[in-house]
Amino acid sequence: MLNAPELVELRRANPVALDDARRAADELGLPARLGALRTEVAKPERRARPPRLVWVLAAAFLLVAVVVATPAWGLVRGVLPFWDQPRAPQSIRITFSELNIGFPPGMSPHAVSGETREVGRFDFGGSTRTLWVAPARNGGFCSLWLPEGGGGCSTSGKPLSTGALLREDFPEWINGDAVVPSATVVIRFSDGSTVEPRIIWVSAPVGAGFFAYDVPAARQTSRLHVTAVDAYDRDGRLLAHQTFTDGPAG
Amino acid sequence: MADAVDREDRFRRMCDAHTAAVLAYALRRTSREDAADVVAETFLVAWRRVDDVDEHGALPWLYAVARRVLLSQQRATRRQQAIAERVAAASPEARETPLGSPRLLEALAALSEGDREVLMLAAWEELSSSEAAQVLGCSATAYRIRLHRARRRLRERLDSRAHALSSSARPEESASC
Repeated sequence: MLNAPELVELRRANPVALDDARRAADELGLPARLGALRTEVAKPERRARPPRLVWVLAAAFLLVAVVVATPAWGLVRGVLPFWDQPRAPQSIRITFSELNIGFPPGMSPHAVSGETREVGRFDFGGSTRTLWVAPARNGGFCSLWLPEGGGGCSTSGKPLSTGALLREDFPEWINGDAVVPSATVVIRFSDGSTVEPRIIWVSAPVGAGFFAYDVPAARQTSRLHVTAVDAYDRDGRLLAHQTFTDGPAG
Repeated sequence: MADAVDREDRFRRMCDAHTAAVLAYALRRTSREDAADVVAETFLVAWRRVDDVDEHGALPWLYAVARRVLLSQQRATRRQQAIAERVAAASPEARETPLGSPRLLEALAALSEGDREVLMLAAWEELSSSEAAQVLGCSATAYRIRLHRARRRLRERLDSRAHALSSSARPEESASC
């Protein structure tokens, strides 16, 4: 199959040969940049497997936290005061500090990792993803859904930014952030139906709303899948329209 | 201490062996500046998880990480745009090949993102079915099915384009009679 005519032809049309990439790597200073990773980022250490008691205690703590926190999240209406949210543990702060690494001069988002806060949780496939947010020094913010789900930095004040985890060709999980004047977010499907995800609005210095949507399995097919996410202001005016690639034809 | 030195050595070997391949992977999918960031982030993950990476099977693992980095960093619309830019920026040598590379790249760009990735992993990264399946997080059988379908759709695009070109040439031919 790898010698099929289309693939042979495509192979010959490869726009980036390995030798070109080697030269580009040198021009982009990648060897030095990757070498610096070993000194800039804390060395990975083998972590001893925690004893079973620790797992039991952690599970009990998690259960208590969920019982206590869930009603609190449910009661949130309006804007979540950023500075009142729980501080991130050191491991999360390190992850945020790493967001500042590797940018050309003047391009770093300058995430203030020491002020990272937990601002939301989301159940997905039986596990919980936590939304962590840190303000950026020059305005805007950085956000990450952990342990998996992506994120990034938004420093330009765009009304809507979205990301997605794909399963096969279709989004199975969508997350994003909306910045005022955006007021509502609408997820659109190929059959014309829509869903309006709940937005967690966070106060200054973040000044943005965050949302996530767990796409039902029945809506991840070639016939029915997410096609776009829109942001509207309070008067219903469309501010941003972000499309997702269509599924395979036929 | 010996462990730390060993990990540094393994990471260094991984960088030496695979930086160019991962950069090529990223360059085929995004801009030059973004590609450098993708490589840096990919190897940052590799450094933090160096104990988990099988040195001999590192390249598909790195491609899978790079793919996730691309998915996380690029918004869907930007990615479409980047592919279009890559097509537009295809080297002049490639454009002049007798095999009609621009035609092929345009047909490729017109496919869904999933089809493109399946085809590019086979043709440009030259991965086996099991390696490409590892990158995509599916079974080798599922990958082979997807590759078969993507090839068929690419061929259909090429054929329909050839048909359109020959149709558009007809009026000139008849006009010259």
